Amino acid sequence: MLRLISVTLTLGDRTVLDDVTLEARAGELLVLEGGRGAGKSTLLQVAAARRRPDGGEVWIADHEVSRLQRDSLPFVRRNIGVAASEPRFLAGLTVLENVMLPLGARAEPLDRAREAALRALGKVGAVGLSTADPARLSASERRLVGLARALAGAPPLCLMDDPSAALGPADAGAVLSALQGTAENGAAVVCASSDSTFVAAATRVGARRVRLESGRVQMGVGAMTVVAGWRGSEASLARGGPALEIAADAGTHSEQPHEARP
Amino acid sequence: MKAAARARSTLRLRLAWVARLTVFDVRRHRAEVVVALAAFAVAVAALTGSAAAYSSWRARSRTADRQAGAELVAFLRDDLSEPSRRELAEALRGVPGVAGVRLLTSDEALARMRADLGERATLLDGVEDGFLPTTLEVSLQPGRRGVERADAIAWRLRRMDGIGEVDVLQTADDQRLVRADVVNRLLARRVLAVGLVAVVLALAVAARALRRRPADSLVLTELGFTGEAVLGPAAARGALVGGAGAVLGGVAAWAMGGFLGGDGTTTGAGPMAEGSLLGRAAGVVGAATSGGGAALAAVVVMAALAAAAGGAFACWGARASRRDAREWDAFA
Repeated sequence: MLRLISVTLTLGDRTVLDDVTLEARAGELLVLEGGRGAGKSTLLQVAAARRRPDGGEVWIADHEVSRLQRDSLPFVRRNIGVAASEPRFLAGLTVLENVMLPLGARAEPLDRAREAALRALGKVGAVGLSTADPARLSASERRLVGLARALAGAPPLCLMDDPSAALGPADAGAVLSALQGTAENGAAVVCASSDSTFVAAATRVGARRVRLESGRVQMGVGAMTVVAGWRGSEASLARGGPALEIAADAGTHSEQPHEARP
Repeated sequence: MKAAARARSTLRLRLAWVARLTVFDVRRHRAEVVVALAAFAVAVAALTGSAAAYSSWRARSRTADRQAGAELVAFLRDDLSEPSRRELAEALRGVPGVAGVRLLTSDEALARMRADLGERATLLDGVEDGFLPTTLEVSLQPGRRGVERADAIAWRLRRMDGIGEVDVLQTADDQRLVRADVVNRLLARRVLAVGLVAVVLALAVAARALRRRPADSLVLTELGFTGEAVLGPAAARGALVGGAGAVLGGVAAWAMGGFLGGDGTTTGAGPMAEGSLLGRAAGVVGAATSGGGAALAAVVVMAALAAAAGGAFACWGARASRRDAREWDAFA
C-alpha cells in the first residue's frame, strides 16, 4: 500500500530524511521508532502527501504521488487517515462534526458519515466526547479525537504520529486495539512512536518495527526488520537500480537479520 | 456510463457537504453573519435612497434650468443713458449665480405686463408710454449658486449703481421647494455617508473572516478537501449574506416609501416631512424610492450577483466532481 524509495528531504541545511526506503503492506501494522529529531514525523508527512520530498519516490496503492500536481493531492489525502501529534480541529464544530469531516471529503452520505464517526470514536473510547467542543478538551482527549478522525471511514492507509503520547495505559491499550483492528480489516497502519512501552506492546500483537535515526533507517540493530516483501519499483529497475527478491512471507531482507513474526 | 453516474452522484453528495459546511460556517460565526447582514441591508437601503434622492434633486435642478423666466427683476433709474444700461446689464451677467440678463425697454415691459395680466389687461388702459421704467430681467443659475441665493443676489444688485429696486419673483411655494431641495440634498449626503459606513463595516467583517480563513483552510486541505470545497462555503455564505441583505435593504426602502406615501414618481421632489430629523430622513429615502423602482433595481442586481456566484461555484463543483470520478477510478 505504501512504498517509500530512497526518499530524501532537506530542511535548510539539515538533512531530515536520508535515502529512506520503506514499505507498509495492506493489513500490516508497522511501527517507526526513534528518538527525538529522528525524522519520524517528517517521514509520516511525506507518506501522507503533505510534504514533497527532495528526492526519491512515494508510492501509494501503486501510484506514485511524489510527482503529482498540487490540484491532485486532495484526492490522495482523502484516502489517508492521518493523526498528527497535535491535531487541528475546526473551532465551533463539535467533536462528532470534526470526526465526520474526512468522510465529507470523500463525499460520503451524511448519515453514513455520522455512523462511521461514532464508530471511530467508540473504537478509541471517546464516544462520550461526541458533543463536546474540541477547544475545551484536554490534551489526551484531543489526541483520542484526532485518532478517531484518522480512523473514521476505514481509510486504506493510516498514519499515526505518536498515538500513545499523553495517554494513560488504558487509553493507550484501547488505541493499540483500534489500530490492530484497522490493520486486520485490510488497512496499512504506520505508527511513529518514541514510547518504548507502546512499541513493545505493538510488537507483541504482531507489528513490525523499523528504527529511524538521524533521518536514516537503521539496519541490523536488535531484532528488527527493515524492509519486507517489496520489489524494486519499475522506475528503479529501469535505472539499473536494485531489485530485491524477498520471500513473500518471511519479511526478511536478504542481507539483514529480522525479527520473526508470530 | 458508470463513471458518469458516479460523477453525478458524487456531485450531489459534494454539494450536500458544501451546504453542510456552509451551515457549519454560519453557525460558528453567527454574530459576524448578523452584523454583515445588517450592514449590507443598511448599505443597500441608504445607498439606494441617497442615489435616488440625489438624482431626483438633479432632475429638478435640470428641469428648473430649462424653464423660461426670471427670478429677479431689477428696475433701472430713469436717468441712466442707453450705453450705461447696457454696461450695467453686462456687469450683472458677471455676478456669481446669474445665468442671464435681459434688458426690457419701457414699452416692452408694459407689453409684458399686459400679457401677464391676460383678461385683466384692461387695467392698464390709459397708462401712458414710458410709465414703467426700463428693467433688467435676471435669471439665476440652478442650485445653491443661484436660485437658492435669490435673496442674497437681490441684495447685492440693490447696492449696484443705477439700480433702483429689485423684486424677487419666487413665490412662497417656490421658496418652500427650494428649501426642500436643500434639505433633500443634505439628507441625501448624510444618508449616503451612513451607507458608506455600512459598506466599510461589511468589508471589515469580510476581511476578518478572510484573515481567519487560512487556519480553517489548512485543516480542510489536510483532510483532502479540494480548493473549491474549501472556498465554496465562504462563497456561499457571502452570497447568502449579500442576497439576504439586499432583499432586506430593498424591502426597508420600499416600506419607507409606502409608509410615507411618496408622490409616486422618482423625479418629483420628495415632500419635506414635518417632525423629527429621523422623520425627514425617512421622508427623503421613502419619497426617493417611492414606486419601488430604485429599490427593486438594487434587489435585482444583488440577487443576480448572488445567483452568479452560486452558478460559478456549481460549475467549479461539477468540474471537481468529474476530476474526482477519474481519480477515484485510479485508486479503486
